[in-house]
Amino acid sequence: MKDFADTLRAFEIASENLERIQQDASFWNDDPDALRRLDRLALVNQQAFFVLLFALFDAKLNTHSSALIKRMRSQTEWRDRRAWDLLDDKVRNMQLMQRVALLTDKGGDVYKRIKELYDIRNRIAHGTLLTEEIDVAEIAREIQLFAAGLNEAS
Amino acid sequence: MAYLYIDDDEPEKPLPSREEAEAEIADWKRRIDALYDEIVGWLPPGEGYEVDRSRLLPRHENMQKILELPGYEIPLLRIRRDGRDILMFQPDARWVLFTRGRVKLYVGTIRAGDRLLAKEADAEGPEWTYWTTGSWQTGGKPWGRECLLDLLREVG
Repeated sequence: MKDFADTLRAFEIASENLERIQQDASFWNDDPDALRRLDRLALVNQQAFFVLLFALFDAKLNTHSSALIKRMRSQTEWRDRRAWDLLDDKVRNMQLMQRVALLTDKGGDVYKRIKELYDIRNRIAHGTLLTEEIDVAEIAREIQLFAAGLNEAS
Repeated sequence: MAYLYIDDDEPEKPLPSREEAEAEIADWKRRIDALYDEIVGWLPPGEGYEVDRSRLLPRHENMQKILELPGYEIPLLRIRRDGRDILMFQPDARWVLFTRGRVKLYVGTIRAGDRLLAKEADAEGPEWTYWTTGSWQTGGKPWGRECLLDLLREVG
């Protein structure tokens, strides 16, 4: 999971530098417009890295769902593989949550949580202003654990 | 502006009412005061630590902007020794996803990425967890007196 670690490290470096600038600005009582601008940049940074982390998860999901479909389609018994044959190899044509459902119980807590994170990713992708800040490190940890879990499920 | 492929849209969670948001900010200020009281109470006496809670930080969170509510002011907690800031707690936002607020923590000139996260109202566990740079894979740890003393030792 080096890609997750590198992405999070890049976020931490960017975030820490931004926070130093914010600290100086708030400490020296810079004008409110400058403070608001820095707040906005911090939010953009959080959103950008959240989307990037989710994209890493999506890539793992593609790899593992493709592997699962390929394995199930290679079964000798037609009765075992007939439903899998309908899916073909084009997992990219499947909606993300359908791919998640291949690898985790649709009624389970993991599925529900991934759906929650995916909805946030979509709100960012829509360009709608999030009402809330994001603690990227906390969510990165969770997404990485889900990605690791996909490997076992495939 | 939509710049990524979207599927499987869900309706967004309803926003709090203006009254609910105002009550949340009042509660946030109370919780910050209680946090500061606790931290100040943990400082080892007779070791030259000075506390300054006089500086107010203006905040205007996105939630407030969307609800057309005014911003608010909230105090910083500065712990000083020998005329220099060694720890500074800066409440960052009440509305942080999956939490009930975040406080940034500046560790002297050593680090700027530490923070305390408040647990969600219905979550189990300690009221605050402490996160530091580079610790994301191990997760946060319960915030308590030992965490504070470790930080004080670190800044010297």
